[in-house]
Amino acid sequence: MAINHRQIKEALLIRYVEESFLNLFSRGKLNGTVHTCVGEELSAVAFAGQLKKQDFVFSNHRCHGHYISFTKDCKGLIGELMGKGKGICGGIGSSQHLQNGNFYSNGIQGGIVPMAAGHALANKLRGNGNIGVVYIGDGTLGEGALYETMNIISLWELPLLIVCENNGYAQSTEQKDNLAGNIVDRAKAFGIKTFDSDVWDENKLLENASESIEYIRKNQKPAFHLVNLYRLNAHSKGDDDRDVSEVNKYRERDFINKFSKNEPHLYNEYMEPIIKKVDNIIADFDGQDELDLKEYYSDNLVVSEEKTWTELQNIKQRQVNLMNQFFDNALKNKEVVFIGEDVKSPYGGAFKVAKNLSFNFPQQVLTTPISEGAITGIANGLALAGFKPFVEIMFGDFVTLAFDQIVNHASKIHHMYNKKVSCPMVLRTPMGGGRGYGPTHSQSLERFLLGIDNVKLLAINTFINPEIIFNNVLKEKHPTIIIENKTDYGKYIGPPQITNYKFIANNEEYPTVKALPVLSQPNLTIVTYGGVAHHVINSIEKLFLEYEFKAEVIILTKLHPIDYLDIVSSVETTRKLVTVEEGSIDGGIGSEIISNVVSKIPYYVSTLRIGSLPIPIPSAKSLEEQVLPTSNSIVNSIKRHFYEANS
Amino acid sequence: MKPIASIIVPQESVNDESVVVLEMNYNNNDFVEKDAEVIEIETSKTTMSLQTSTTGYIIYNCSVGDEVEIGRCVANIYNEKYIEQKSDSKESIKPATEVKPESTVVVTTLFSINAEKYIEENKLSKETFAGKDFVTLEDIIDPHEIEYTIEKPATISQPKTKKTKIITEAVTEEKIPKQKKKEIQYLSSVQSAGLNSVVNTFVNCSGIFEFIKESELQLKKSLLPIIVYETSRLLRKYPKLNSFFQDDSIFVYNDVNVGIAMDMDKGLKVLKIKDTDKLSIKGIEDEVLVLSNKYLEEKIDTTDLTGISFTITDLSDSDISFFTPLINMDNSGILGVSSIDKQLNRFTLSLTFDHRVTEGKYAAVFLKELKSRIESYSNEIRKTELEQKSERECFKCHRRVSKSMNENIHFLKVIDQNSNEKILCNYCLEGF
Ligand SMILES: Cc1ncc(C[n+]2csc(CCOP(=O)(O)OP(=O)(O)O)c2C)c(N)n1
Repeated sequence: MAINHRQIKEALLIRYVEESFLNLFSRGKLNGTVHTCVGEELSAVAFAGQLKKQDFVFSNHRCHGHYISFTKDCKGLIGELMGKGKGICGGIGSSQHLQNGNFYSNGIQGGIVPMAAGHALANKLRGNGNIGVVYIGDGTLGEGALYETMNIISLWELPLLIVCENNGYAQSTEQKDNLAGNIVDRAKAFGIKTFDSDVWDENKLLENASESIEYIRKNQKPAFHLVNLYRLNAHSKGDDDRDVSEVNKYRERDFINKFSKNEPHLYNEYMEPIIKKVDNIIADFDGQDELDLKEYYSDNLVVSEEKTWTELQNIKQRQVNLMNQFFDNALKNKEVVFIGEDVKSPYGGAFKVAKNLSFNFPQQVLTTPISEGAITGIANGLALAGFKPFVEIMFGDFVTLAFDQIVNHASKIHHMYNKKVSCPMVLRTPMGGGRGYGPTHSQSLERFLLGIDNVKLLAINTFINPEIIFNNVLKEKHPTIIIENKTDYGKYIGPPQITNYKFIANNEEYPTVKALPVLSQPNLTIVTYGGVAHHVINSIEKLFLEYEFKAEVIILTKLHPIDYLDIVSSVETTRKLVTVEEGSIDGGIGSEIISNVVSKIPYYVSTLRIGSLPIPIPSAKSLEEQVLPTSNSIVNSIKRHFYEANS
Repeated sequence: MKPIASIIVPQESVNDESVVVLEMNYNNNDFVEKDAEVIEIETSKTTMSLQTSTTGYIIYNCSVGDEVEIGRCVANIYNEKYIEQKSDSKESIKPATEVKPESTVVVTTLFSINAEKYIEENKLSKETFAGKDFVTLEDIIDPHEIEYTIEKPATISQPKTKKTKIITEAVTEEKIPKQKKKEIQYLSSVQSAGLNSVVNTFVNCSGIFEFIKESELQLKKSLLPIIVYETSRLLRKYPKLNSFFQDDSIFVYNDVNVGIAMDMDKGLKVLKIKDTDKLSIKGIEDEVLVLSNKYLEEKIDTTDLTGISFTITDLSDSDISFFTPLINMDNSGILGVSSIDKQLNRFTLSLTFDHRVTEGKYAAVFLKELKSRIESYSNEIRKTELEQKSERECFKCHRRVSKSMNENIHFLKVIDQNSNEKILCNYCLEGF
């Protein structure tokens, strides 16, 4: 297969656009940074350029060439890098964060690989025959997410081509300093078919690329394509410590340089319209405005509306059964996917939320390898492709392994691509101790998940039917994290019996529950959520009998963003605010609530945060009880803080 | 068994929603003649008896002392003796004073340990607290929580004032302007009973203006918005001051609408801040500014003048140290704000209250709480609160005495190199 003139022109266009970027940069017209692919253009032309429109591409920091070859849109790209509102992502993403149709790039090495796998999974589930390419650099071979994903795409036979652009360097680091073993052997170890090419034999490259693409399209299996190439410019700008003679050697071998030398007429003929086009675009954008902050960010304050409160009813069903029923229903929609470790039945997940689901929906209930990062990334990719994925992280403690996908991907996707796409993924996980599982299976880490931009944080409890919450989550357009509690799964849903207390809930999507004295005015506000709410409820009576506190307990379901109205109006009467969370308190949810409440009211409010002791949760029973908040420790802390201080 | 006749409470006065049963002239299942006077009731105007329209056996649906709504059946007449328990039918008459928890929760009164002890020591009867959910020691010593709520009647009868004219030679008569007449009428409604009383307190205001200065409030020299704000919220807790007395009943307002007395050369007017307890301090200030503009431009609507449930009168710019405000019609309390004593950094709050509605203790507790709430705005208090707290922590690791949940942590008082007393925790003493 010989390179054709459309492809040559495409390579020339990429080079001229990128050289223009460097030029703009040196004239101060580009904010931030650029990573050019000068010398590597043919890899873009060969893979991204030979895909169909319905296929997809995920790329990385060095993505301009891939973008142009796949989308053929150099105007949107130039505007974007010039930071203009009319750029393809409104100037938000710039060089490393592009999205246009099925093209996505992001600046976290390795993070895009599981997302691409998720997109490929979506294609496979839809059976549409489309495939995708994900580009990585050789430096990214150091990232774990890549290997988690290679394992999964091979196992699940996902139609995804990993193109590894091997330029021998990762930023400033030479390959000999960061890579062991052999590159293609890595893919082979996962049973993935491999291909090997380089840009110096352009015809062979195009042919091999086409062959690997067709292999995937035909077999609906993944492949790994190593492309050896060389970056002729600095990693980004001016950061080049490589030997000049080494670089020059590759300049001579470069296809475009050879073409301009060997075919000067053709070269000039092709370049003339390219130069004209690109220069005109730049001139056009030059005077244009950047995006107005108002268009980028609208302050979606939680607006408190009049709420109706109704008394809670007992539902004679356990929390876990109601959740299971919800999924059994929700999965009837073919675009809902349940993904997690050990979720296949008969086992049905560590806490049995997925019981029997895989029997009824074998395509949509996916049991996975132990790869929290990859499965969360796959969920992100599924969500981008229009699916509604629910990831189950077996134990809350393991959520840290999914953190990059939550914070750098799910959270950012909607805004960094200037709100053209969104990522409605859902991640559920059980937090909490009380079962003796010890330090790595008992902690409550929700404080680390609090306040992630554009990510809702919910905590279910045993007062509200979880189906209400999950049905609303199903409609969410943005990422949602649901905190569950291990000790709650087996409990029945409904209000507990506390003498002279009523339990009411409001009619919001994620209802807040209040426990109130039936007649008396409360004189203490306690805000809590999730599993630990039980301990709070169990402390009510003692708090009254021994210390004369008539507590109003507010049990939140939505932890981020929080609607403060109910808390503030309670504190207005009680002037005493206690927060109870199961995790330790520093930098926690209590801190967040208290700082917000205090900033909303001008008078002095006495406050107290209660949580676990700041040490790993011990397994030994008596120790565990002392470390976690219990109704006794809650009463004692409140007593010490408010009661003894006053007497 | 169906009754052959019923005795219904008639509407005697337009304003009455209920009457009180004074006496029942027969026993249940007694035989009564037609036109017999079977029950005595009391309306706001008079007492009267109700008669039966037919002969038969009577069954009462009420007891002496019950408050019965107009239109309710108080007794039935049957052909023969009635055998069912009358308590069933009594269910249908709910005295208007009964607490109606809107909840399905059954209330069983719980006493705190302290309350229990006190009751035992003082040989009190627990019965007194029937119908309450939680009883604390404070509830017993200081029973300020109101036990009933009554809807305000739709219309309020104006007290009739008899016209007497004094004409003597020793005086020259000057006709009172219309405006003043209104004022007198307004004030005499409560004052004429002569059962008002006043409580006063000093409020320390040092540091509050610093708070106001830093706040978004516009009136940098006025404490009024804060006072109105805190008062309106406390009125929820002290509903007897958000009520009025009439015809031997206390009518508690459902809403808190604080009235602000204004007198800026256009006559004394009390202007309403609607739903005061739902506004922020800034909201109240805005409302005060709007109302004073309306007042000055004489654009006041009747809605600005009606439905006021409590009044605040601010004479703080008149350089007075204290005064006794007069309660307005259909109110049971008024708060007077005197001027700030610049030397002592304090001012007087005076609360006049209607003694028919409540007692001095209740008013005093209200005023005390109001005072402390207002003083809590002081930046100085905030600072000292913090200082006090920080004193009680380990001087090395800053572990707080009040915050340490672990029972193994102890604190010791130690003397440092400079002979200062300090607190040290056992962890820091022993080393880690
Ligand atoms: C997770 C992560 N770690 C570090 C970086 C910083 N970084 C950006 S590009 C780069 C080098 C990547 O090397 P390689 O994958 O070989 O791609 P190349 O730059 O050579 O095209 C590094 C370390 C990053 N963007 N993301």
